[in-house]
Amino acid sequence: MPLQSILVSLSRRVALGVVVLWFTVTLTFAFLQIVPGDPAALLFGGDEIPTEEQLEEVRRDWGLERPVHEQYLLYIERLVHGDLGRSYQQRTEVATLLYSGVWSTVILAVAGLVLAVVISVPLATLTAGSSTLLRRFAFVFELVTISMPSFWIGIILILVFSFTLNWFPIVALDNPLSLVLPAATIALGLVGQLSQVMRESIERALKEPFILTARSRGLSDGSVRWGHALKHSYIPAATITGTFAGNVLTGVVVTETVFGRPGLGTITVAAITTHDIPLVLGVVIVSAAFFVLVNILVDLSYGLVDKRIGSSV
Amino acid sequence: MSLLRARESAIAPASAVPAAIAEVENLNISFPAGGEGRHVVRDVSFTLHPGRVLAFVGESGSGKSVTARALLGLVGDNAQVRHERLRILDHDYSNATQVDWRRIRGAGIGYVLQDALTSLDPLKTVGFEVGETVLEHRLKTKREIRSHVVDILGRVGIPDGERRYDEYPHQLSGGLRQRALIAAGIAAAPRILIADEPTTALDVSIQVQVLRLLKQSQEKGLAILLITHDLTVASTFADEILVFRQGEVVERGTAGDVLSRPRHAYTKALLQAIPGQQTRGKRLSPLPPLDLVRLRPPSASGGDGGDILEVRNLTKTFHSSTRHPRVAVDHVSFSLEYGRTLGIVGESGSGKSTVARIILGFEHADSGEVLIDGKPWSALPETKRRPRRHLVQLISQDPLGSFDPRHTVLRLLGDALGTLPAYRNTAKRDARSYELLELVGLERLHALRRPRELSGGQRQRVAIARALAVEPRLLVADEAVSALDVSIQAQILDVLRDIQKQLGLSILFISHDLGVVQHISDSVVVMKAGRVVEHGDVNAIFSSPKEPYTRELLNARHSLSHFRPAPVDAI
Repeated sequence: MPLQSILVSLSRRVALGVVVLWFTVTLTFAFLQIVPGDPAALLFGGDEIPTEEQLEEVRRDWGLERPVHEQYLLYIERLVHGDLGRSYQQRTEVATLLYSGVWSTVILAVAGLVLAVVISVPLATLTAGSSTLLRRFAFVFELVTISMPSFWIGIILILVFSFTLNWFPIVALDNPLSLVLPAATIALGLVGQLSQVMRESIERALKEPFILTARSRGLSDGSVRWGHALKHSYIPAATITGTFAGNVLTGVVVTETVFGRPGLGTITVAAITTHDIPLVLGVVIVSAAFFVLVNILVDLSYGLVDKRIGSSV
Repeated sequence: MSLLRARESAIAPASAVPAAIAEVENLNISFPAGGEGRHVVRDVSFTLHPGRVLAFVGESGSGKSVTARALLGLVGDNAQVRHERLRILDHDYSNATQVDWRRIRGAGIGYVLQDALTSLDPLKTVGFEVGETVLEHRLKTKREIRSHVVDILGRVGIPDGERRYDEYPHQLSGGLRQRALIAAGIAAAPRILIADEPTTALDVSIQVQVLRLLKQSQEKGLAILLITHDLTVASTFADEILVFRQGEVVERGTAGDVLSRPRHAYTKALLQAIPGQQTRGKRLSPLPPLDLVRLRPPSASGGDGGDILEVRNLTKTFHSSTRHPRVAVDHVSFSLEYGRTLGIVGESGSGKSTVARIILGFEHADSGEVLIDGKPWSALPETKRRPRRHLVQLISQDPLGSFDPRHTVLRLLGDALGTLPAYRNTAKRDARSYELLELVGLERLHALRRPRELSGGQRQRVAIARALAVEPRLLVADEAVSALDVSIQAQILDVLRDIQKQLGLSILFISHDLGVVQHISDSVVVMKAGRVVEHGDVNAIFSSPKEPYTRELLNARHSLSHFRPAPVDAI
């Protein structure tokens, strides 16, 4: 793909992403307008009734005494400058709060995704189109991981590998080994679907004439699978992984709660239980931005792997 | 069997033929896993010799491809292969292991499949695919591979190999792609080349180029096993021919013998089924004509000498955001009289299918007009056209794609009939459907089958029945017989002719196959790059073409059928 068409398709996707984000932001703003009652009290949150000074502070921050369209413009302007507002419950900037949790979550999510890919790729490649014992094991394994909720997987992992076998700690956060079980919990949420989709694509590729051609050149079964067929599963695999990754920032809520890890998940839970609306809105906007970003990257990668997909997509 | 073997030695005296480099004796292949234990190849014996071409001829499912694959040990995991002798390149492969097979694949025997678009990995570069065999057998190092591959690409007539090396199959034209596939087949300098339908699905001019290329390799001492359904290609290119039918060799001999003095009834039928000048006005298949008189619509007046179809100055340009706009149809005009057949010929990309889509109202022309029955058609909005839509019906190359796979044949026909007021009643509809099936030569039991349970020929008959159901005046047959075996093609061409003669229908017959068009058409339109190059009576055009392009097309076809005497010059 020539550089020019890469730039054209990139800018088209970025523009589309900006529109999606603008929609999300507008919806969050509309939410504030629609909910009945005093928006200042809503934004302040918490269980106690705020004082008049506290409400006055909220009104000043959000320009609540001004007409709606001015409030909207103020909201957009703040966001464009990266200002996600203040959490009145925690008396801190929302951006600061999110930043404090985001790294722990990103590390967990990346570790989980990498683990999922590392398990799924060989599992799908080795078992595609075969009827070995491994294939039967893979079938059961995938079905189990797909049907089990992630909190249950997490609890089982803790019981088996931490409490009983004592292999991995879960509370010592400075120990990198404590990442293993939560990452595995995330990974197992994706592995079943990912390897099934990949296997299906690989099996379809294995039936194509070009595989017969490759075999007729003297390639071993392994070379045919890894060298030719595997690449044909990239697009569906990337689509699924991309969707999963796009949702992972909020998807870690359960895992972080089960393992008691600080991060965006625990922050979100706390924000919801204390009715900390500015913080909730911040999580929504950051997740949406992340989702858009991941999808742009996934879309671009299609064209790099399959040159038949030009800038037309 | 012994008789055949005796004959083989008689036609190929040991003095004239170099020693065999592959010997197969009494090969049997079956697939026991397939339920009743399908026996797909029975007692087949043959030998391959350096510098000679052996052709396997037969229709799909006759066992010719699977026989060839036995030479590579690529029959399939669940296949049972038995033979009395399997010697390739001085080695016995009777009890070969996977490692033995892998050693001979590519390096000893090259394998070229049909349709390079699917036979080359679309996600790999041409250079990778061609070099893969060489690297796998460690004949060159990674550092040497590029120059070696570029050299091979040059040898198969791909100019600018340096650039092509990094391109992907979809970026190459059909002809170059097929050459690249052949380049991959011969890259490791094998002594045997298996070419499985190497020219099928290619335009005739490219077929000639590909066959010349194979011929050159043969002259350099390569033993070639050519697998084809095309008797013309086989008879002109091969030294010896084996005719396959249902897994058995029914006839074998030199190319000249098989073609001019066929002994087996099946070979005779195959030869008679080939359409062309000599078959005009004759039946191609041994089946009796259909009796369609009952189907004749009472209103089939069809003014004599009038035109059912008139195409005036059609132009259509396709725009794309990434590529230059492409003029698919460029000021095309022609007309078709009642009860006649007009053939449109042209190579792929000539715009013939786009013209068909505009005539069918699936596509809008940028300018120009289509008249049906003398009245406006393409200019009408769809709602106005719908009451007359039944007048024009399509028979496509792939009827399977045009049927809902879950519906029975009865339902497929019923749905078509349901658009006519006379068949709102279910009982009437069913009765008519059975009648239609009978008329196109199918039986009542086919009515409850689903499309996938029918053979290719039966499906095409259903497609024709469905088209006839709505009482059309014009059939548009777009490559309607291109995907069929020659004997089935013969039957369908006969059906189309019966329909035309007995119902007075007009047919617009679009095909890349000049022989088929010559057989069935009254007049011909030759298209190239969206333009009409030549237009006129079929005999006039085929016997004395005026335009250079038409001559070029006919020459290419001519050299296909007279391949051997033609001088083989460098490409």
